[in-house]
Amino acid sequence: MKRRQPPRLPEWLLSILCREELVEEIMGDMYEYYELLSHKPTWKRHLLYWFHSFQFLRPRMIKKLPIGQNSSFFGLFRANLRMAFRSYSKNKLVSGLSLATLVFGVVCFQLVYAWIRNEQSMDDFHSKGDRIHLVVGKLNPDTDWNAFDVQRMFNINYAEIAHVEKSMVVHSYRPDEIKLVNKGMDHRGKALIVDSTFFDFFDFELTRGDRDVLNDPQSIVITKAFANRVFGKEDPMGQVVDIKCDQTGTYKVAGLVEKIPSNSSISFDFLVPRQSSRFWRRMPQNIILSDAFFDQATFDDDMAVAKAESTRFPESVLSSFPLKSIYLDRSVEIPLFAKYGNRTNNQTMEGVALVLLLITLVSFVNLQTSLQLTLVRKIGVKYMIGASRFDVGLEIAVSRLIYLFAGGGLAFLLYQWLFPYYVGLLELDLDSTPSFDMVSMSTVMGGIVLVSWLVSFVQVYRLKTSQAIAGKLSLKIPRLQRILTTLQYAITILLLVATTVVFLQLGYMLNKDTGLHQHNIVQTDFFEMMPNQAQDSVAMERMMRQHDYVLNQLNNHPGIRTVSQGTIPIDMAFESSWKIASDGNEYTPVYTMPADPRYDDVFGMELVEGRFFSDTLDNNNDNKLVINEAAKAYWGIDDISQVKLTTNTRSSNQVDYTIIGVVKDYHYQHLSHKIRPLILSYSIYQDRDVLVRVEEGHMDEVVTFLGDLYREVNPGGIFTFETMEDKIDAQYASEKRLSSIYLTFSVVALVLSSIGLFTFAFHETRRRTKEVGIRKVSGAGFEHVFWLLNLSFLKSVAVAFVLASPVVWYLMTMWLDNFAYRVTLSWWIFAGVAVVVLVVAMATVLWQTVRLSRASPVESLRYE
Amino acid sequence: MSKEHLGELEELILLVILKLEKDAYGLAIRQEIIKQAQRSVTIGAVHGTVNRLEDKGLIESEYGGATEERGGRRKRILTVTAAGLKALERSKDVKMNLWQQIPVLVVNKS
Repeated sequence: MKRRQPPRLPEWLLSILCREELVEEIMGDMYEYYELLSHKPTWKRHLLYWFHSFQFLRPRMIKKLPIGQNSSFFGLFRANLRMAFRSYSKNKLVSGLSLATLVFGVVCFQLVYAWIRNEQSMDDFHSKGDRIHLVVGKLNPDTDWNAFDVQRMFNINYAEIAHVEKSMVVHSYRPDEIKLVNKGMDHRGKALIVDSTFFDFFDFELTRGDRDVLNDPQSIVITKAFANRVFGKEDPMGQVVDIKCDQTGTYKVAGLVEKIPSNSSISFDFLVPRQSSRFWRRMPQNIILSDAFFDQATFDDDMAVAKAESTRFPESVLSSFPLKSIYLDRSVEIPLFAKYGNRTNNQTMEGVALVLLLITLVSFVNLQTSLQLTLVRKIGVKYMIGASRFDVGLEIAVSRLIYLFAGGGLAFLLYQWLFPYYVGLLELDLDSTPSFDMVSMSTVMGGIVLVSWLVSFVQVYRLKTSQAIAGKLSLKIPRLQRILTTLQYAITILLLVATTVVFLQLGYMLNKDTGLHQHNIVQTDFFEMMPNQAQDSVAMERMMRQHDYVLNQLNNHPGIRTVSQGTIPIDMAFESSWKIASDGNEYTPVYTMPADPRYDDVFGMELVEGRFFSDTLDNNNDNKLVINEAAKAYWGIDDISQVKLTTNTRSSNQVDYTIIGVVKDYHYQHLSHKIRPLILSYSIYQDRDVLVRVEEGHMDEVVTFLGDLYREVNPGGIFTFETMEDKIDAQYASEKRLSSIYLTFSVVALVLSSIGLFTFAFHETRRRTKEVGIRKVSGAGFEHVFWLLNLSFLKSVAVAFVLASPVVWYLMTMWLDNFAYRVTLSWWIFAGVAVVVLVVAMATVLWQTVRLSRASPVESLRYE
Repeated sequence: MSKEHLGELEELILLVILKLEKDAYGLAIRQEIIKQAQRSVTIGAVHGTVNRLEDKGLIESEYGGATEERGGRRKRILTVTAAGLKALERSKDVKMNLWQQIPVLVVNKS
């Protein structure tokens, strides 16, 4: 019988891992043992063979590491540790700076990365997230997609559509539209009126109650944060509350949602079962849950077939968007979502994170290699007395590992401490995830330390012992390092210029004359949503009485100049389709806003032609319009009395509207847009917000008066108001956030780059001590030496500036192109940044160079 | 007196080496332990203990001839040194001594 050979791999492993003098015996025994097992099945034989092979890997039997003779690994490790600490205390400055760079850089990176990760994981926690779709439609092909109640408008039964498993209808009520009443106190919060299948779609974590809780029409689910607000320390479960909006009802709290995670675009304070009332007035959205075979084109076709049965909107098109895509695409705005993302912003942040990482890496590596350069002789001596390359590599590794551990701990503490400030300062919605952040920071730090180890090791590996000891070796900073520092500065300059431009643009937008009066205007919500007259005529009547009383009171207050109803014209215009009545052209979407006869006075609008609405000549909902100059130009109207406009969005039968006036153009949108055509129509619901223009200097008095009046008509309610200035501030919040992010991180970049430059100065001044001594002996003065030293550093800053300028010029021109009204990129922005960077760079190297320039040659040349 | 005390496996292996006389090597020792003590130890454990005993000077070794059944490799034949014998004897004495001091009743009871 032929002998079977034992498996090769464990044999080979044993032969390379075990000590040479033992290998023969071990392998012989194993060979025999394998033979002994010949009666067992092959797999068992192999398993046993492997198992016994592993048992040989004991400290006594495996080969010693190549770390020289007579030395134990751990003894060496301890010795290295001691050496590393000695080296730290000898070079306190550079070691301290290295650690600071590492910790600071990695923490800043992690802060940005935490945000990016939050954005990227948006809505990922819904396990069925990829199968949830929002049904959208448009009434005619020209308009934007809109998420309306497709089910009701088109009489669609989703159960009949292929690949649709479940459907749900959601009404969203804003905090100003709904309130929860507990023991006579009003609490406003965002509410979702949902089908009982809500938790089949979304995985919000319920800490109390189960996922079927909404099956009971008298149960509501509430978030923990809102429960704390409403019930304080009492147990919210089982509490009975009233909910008031256009419907009223009494409910019991039966579920508690722990928290809306920061990576959820959907938010709510409480959930109300939809079946608890027959009718909810807010336009709902339809959400469907598809199966795995969902196909967009098929769905669109199926919907087209399904809607054909209802002939109400022949031109309409129906489709759906994956719910997850809406956050970033913003393809449609729905009240269900509390926030939207921004792709460009995310990319910018990713860029910032990358830059921070690179700058930290370069700084740390530079610092460490510079430090290593001062140790060249020591290493030469070590080689001479018999140290192997492995020994030296280990020594460097141990010294870097200390950075890793110390840095990891410090970074975690710093991160925990900075996180709340970061979130607060930049107004981010971000949860803290300490364990993940710690892992991520350690990984990044480990990577940086590893790279620095590799660079140093390669440096040391190439070292020739004789040269190192004889001092023949050039101790010049490697060229690569110089280039990297220059690049660092280039990036810093880039960031600084970008920051300046963003700031200038922001200031420009905040202060630009929009053509409207902006001061002393207050918007407040006095009235609850109008009740349904058919359902509740008593409530309707009470509301009308309230309305008249409030307006009367306001008009009689001496501090109030004008009272109007409507909204502050900031990003509140909605598109509807209009055309000139007489011609056969298609309808085109034009922005429309409601206004009442005193609206023009509140905002100081100027009329170019005709007149504004007036109480004596016009009635609410008359077919009369005021347009802006842009609209007049848009339709090419010469004489407004000759032209009538018509729309297909308001009612199915066509009505002609008369143009009674033209207002001077004013900005009613973000300044990134040019002024577009606008139509103002006199159609004001009584429940609209009240706008008040306050006389100069009466602001505080009027706000107090408004508050008192509010509480008089809404006992138990909470008075809130907004000023136009606040709204303008909010409008530019994203630019503001961008500018503060840029500012924060360009300062970080500047600091880190300065540390890099400082290292050079530090190293160069040490290296050139003798050179300077000789120069001085030969007659060079302080000034001469001082400039000689400084110029070599400033040169790299100058090169960085030349590199960065065209790039940042190009990038910022692109960014400014997003704005219809923008600041110009002038040379003095660049000049200013150049001065700042130069001053900081000078300040960093000054201490070193001055010291050297003033040093007496007697000291430096004493030992030659 | 020597401060070396024998571990349980050490003692067992020393005894097995004595018993096997001229044929004491790693695998044979393991097989003998399994046979005599119904105790399964890995070959690695035997080797580890043997190496330790050799360091202590309780056994010594020399290579035997290469054989076919070992794939042409030599055996390392182990013999117990005088120090090893002494250690074994001492260990035995301690135990015997102790056994003799235990009343018969206690042993029979259990």
